[in-house]
Amino acid sequence: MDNNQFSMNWMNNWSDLQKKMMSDWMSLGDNSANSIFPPINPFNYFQQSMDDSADPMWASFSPFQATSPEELARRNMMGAMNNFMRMSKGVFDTFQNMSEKGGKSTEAWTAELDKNLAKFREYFTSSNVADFGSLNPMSGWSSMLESVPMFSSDNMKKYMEGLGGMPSGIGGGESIEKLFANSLNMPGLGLNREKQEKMQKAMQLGIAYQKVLVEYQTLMNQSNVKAADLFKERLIAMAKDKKSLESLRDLHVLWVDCSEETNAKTVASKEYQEINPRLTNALLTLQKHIQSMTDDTMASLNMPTRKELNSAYLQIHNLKKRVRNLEAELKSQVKDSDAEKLNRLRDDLEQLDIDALRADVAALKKQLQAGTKAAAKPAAKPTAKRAAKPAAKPAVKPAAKKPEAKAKPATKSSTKKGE
Amino acid sequence: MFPLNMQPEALVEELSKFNKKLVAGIKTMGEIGDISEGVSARETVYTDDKISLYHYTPLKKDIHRVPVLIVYALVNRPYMADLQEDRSLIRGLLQEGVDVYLIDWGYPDASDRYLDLDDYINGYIDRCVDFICDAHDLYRINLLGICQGGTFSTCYAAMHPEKVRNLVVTVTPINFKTPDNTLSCWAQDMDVDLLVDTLGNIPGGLLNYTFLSMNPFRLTSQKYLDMVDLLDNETKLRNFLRMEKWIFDSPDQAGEAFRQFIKDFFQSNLLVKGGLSIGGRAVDLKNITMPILNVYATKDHLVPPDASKALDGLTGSEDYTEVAFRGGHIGLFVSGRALAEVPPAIGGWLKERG
Repeated sequence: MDNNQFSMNWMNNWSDLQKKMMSDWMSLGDNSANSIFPPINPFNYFQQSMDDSADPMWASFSPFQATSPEELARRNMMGAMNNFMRMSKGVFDTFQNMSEKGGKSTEAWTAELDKNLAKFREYFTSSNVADFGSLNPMSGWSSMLESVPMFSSDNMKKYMEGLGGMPSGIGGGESIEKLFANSLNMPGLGLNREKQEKMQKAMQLGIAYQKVLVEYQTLMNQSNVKAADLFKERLIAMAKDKKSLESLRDLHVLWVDCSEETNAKTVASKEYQEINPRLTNALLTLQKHIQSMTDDTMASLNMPTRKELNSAYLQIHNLKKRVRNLEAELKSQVKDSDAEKLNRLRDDLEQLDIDALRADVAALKKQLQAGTKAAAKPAAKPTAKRAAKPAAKPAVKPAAKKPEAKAKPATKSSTKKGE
Repeated sequence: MFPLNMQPEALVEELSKFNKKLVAGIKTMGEIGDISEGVSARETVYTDDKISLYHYTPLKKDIHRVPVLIVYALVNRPYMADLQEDRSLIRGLLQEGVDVYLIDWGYPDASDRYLDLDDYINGYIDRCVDFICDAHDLYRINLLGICQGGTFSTCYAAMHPEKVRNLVVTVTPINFKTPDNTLSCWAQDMDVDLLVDTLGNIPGGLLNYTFLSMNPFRLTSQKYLDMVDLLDNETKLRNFLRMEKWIFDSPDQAGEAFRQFIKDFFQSNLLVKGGLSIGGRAVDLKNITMPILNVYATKDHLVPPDASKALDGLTGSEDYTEVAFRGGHIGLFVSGRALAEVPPAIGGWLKERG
């Protein structure tokens, strides 16, 4: 499709689309449609409808409790929709631009694609925390700190910003440390000496954690950039093979595939395996320190501390263990001293195949009842044989006899021994 | 050639349809009601602290004489083995005539932080085994372990071989240091002492996060986009939500048990290297002389096949069988193909061995 044709199509359909979308939106029965209707790009409409700001609108459709699995799924789904719509809008803008400026030739559209991917790279290599297509691994962990206002991630961020912006790399982190080195290393004096030292230590640990977090995010952002490059490679390969994507969903699947592929490499890399535990450990060190400060506060209020609770739990646990060990000892003493012999006898009895013996007896009875005494005599033989046989049988069936028994899964199973 | 053949009007149409599905689907979700967990009839026959032992009602008159005790992992909830009528390993086993028991570990709280592997394996599992033995007048029963529960069952069989008649393990890690084991790679340099000393119990949400981050884009984005296609089908949506509920229904992990499991299994790989001891008892795999059935999934990204297959040759058993299922870790329990293959394989194998 050439540029003019594209524009013509667009203009011709625009009016109809406006009506259709307005109609769709109004059918939702929400007045917010008018205020969010896009002036230019129709994808704004879809994307904004998924934004958090519009979420209450979607929530108004939802009769679920905030904690139900349905609500959790709805929230996750809306989050995914939001990203999808953002991608759609981005794709639409990008490809409209590419189509207008780039034209049909591969060189032209790849050049345009490069330009757009450059913006993407810039986003992920800036100091922004990636929120698109990547998880912040510490979101769960750091939420533990949210209850302590001073160490909430927001406040830590503001604190960093107050020092001249978030560090853009390890170097940035070090300069902040230097900046604060004097105050954080100042010796404590007087009554509050211990408290002051603990506060200083907490701040040092907080900064140390932020430094590692930046390293981690840098690595993950690099991974996202690699995903973008792979995405481009895949598109070029498709163009060479004269294949094309027909829908936004297909495009999203391609994007997810590329992201998963690069993510898998990143998380298996040595760098990740070095940074990931370092990040976890940095956060936990901070958390542990805060816990000890919280305990100090609780103790000063004459309230039970975590340390004391743990001590009580441990004592109860040890007592229960002792009781259970005593119970087990009693049980073993009460137990028949000949239990092992008894068990061996039970094994032998099992081998006797009681069911078969019973069947034989039943058959014999039947025959007797029918008055065919002569026929009953030979039938007694197998019983004797069966009774005698087990003694010679090994306790464990030899492996060689097993393989063909697993008729159905045989194609997918292998009997290791005896094959 | 430009690789995107998308007309603006078609794209808008696509999104418009998508939104309509979404709106209609949210209505369906509102009317879907409670999402059940576990479908097979059962009775709680024994409780011990927070754990419950369930006995499932047999579906056949002619049942195996020796019952099976299913030992599930501490991670997530055991109803995954009985998720819905057409996705239930337990139902499949019952249909094979297996007499099924299962341990539900419950939800540990702060007071359980000192529960260790000895409490779980030589304590809870052992007492459940004793209970079943008494109830059936037997001195040994069959064990069926799932994932981490398989590792526990293996350890139990090594420490109490006289109480285990047959050992079945499914998607069970034995060798924790195979190169393709991503979870293990992540655990190697983790300061687990710091983790447990700080948090006490390990929050289930953190484990969820860890599992999600193995496939973050598919599991947090693509999956929910695909969900939109199910929204107009109540049955499919219900099935999706049931699985969703299971995925995020993650009990916290008792701190000490977690510490030991990470240190001794993931970091030191003692089950393979030797030298493992639980509650003062040596765990020597050579003590496992009973028949073993090892079922693993060829596309398991959580427990790679090699991690499971390592059991071969490490035990003292002369009757060792492997069954490879072509699928993933969860697929082994919920896919239609797995349920057509796995329960009959386990049921048949057990029946053969009494």
